[in-house]
Amino acid sequence: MPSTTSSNLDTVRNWLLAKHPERTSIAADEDLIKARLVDSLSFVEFVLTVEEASGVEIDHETIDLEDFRTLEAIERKYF
Amino acid sequence: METVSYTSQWTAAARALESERSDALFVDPLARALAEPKGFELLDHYGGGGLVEFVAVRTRYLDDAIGDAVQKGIRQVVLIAAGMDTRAYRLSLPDDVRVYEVDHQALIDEKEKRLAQLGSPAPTVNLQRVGADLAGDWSAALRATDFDPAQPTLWIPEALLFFLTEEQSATLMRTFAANSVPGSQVAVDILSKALLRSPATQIFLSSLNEDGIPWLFGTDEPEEFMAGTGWTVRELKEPGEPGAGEGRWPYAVQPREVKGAARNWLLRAELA
Ligand SMILES: C[S@@+](CC[C@H](N)C(=O)[O-])C[C@H]1O[C@@H](n2cnc3c(N)ncnc32)[C@H](O)[C@@H]1O
Repeated sequence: MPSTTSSNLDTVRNWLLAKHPERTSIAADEDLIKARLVDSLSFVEFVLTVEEASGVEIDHETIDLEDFRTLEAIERKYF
Repeated sequence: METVSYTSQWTAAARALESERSDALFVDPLARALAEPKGFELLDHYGGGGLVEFVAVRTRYLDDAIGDAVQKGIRQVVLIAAGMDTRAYRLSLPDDVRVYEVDHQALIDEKEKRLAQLGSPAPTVNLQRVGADLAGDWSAALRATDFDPAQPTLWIPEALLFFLTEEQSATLMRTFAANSVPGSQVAVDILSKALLRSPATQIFLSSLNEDGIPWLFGTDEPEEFMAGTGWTVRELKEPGEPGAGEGRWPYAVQPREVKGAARNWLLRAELA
C-alpha cells in the first residue's frame, strides 16, 4: 500500500482522536458509530474530512453508512 | 406515567449535569431530584450525540427568551409539555408573571409528589398546572384556569415537537395562534429533517422507536413551517452561535447552505 494512502487515512483517524481526547487509538475495525466517535451532528464534518483526505468527491445525499462504519471500510471505499 | 413522560426525567438529568459545571449556563437546583428515578439511566442508555450539551444550550436560550418577553411586558408564559421544568422556581421573574405548565396529568402527579418530598419549594411566580393530552383538544383545559387569551402570551413547547407528527405540530402552533393576541410569541426548538435522515442518526432513532417514543417531526425550513401556522420567525439560531451557547457547543456550526447537515433550530416567532 503506498505510504500516502495510510498517512491520508491517518488524517481521518487524527481528526477522530482530536475530537475524543479520552482516546489514544482507534482500531481499523472499530464501529465508529457504536463507539460514539461519530454522531449525527458531527457526521457531515466527518464526511468532509474523509473527502479532503481522500480527494474523492462524496455525494452527501446517497451516502451508504456502511462505508463509514469503520476506518477499514473508509479505506476500502475512498482510499 | 406515559412512556414519553420519562423523557422529562432524562432532560432533567442533563440539566442537573449542566448545573454542576463551573461554567454552567444556568443552575437548576431541583433538577437532580426531579430526574429520579430514570433520568440518568436514560441519559446513559441513549447517550452521546450532543444531547446533554443541546439540552443545556436550549434551556438557556429559552430562559433568555422568557426574560426578554417579560421585559417587553408579557405576563403569561405557557410551558407546553413542561415535564420536570423548574423555571417557575429558578428564574427571578416579576411576581405578577403567571406561568402555566401543561403536560399529561400522570406526569404532573409524579412531579407534585416529588416536589412535596423536597418540602414543597415555593414558586417565585403564580404557577398553575394543567393536565391534558397535547395531541387532543387541550386549550379548553388551559382556558378553564385564569389564563386570559386577551393578554399577550409566550408559548414554549420545549422538547416536544419531535414526538408529534408534522400535522400535530402545526395544529399545536395554530392552537397557540387561536389563543393569542398580537404581541404574543412562541419560543421553541425544532429538529431539522436532515437530522432525522442522517445515516448517523439511524441507530439512535431505531432505539427510540423500539422503546415506543419515536422521533417524528423535523423540518429544514423552520421559517416556512412557522409561517404556515400563523407565526413569523423573528430569530433563528443554531447551537454554537452567539446567544445560543457560543463557546459551549462541541460541534462546528455548518453554514445553512451545507445540505444534509444535521441541525437543531432554536427560534423565536411573533404572531403574524
Ligand atoms: C423531553 S420531555 C420535555 C420536558 C420539558 N419541556 C423539558 O424540556 O425538560 C417531553 C414531555 O412531553 C410530554 N408529552 C409528550 N407528548 C404529550 C402529549 N401528547 N400530551 C401531553 N404531554 C406530552 C411528556 O409527558 C414529557 O414531559
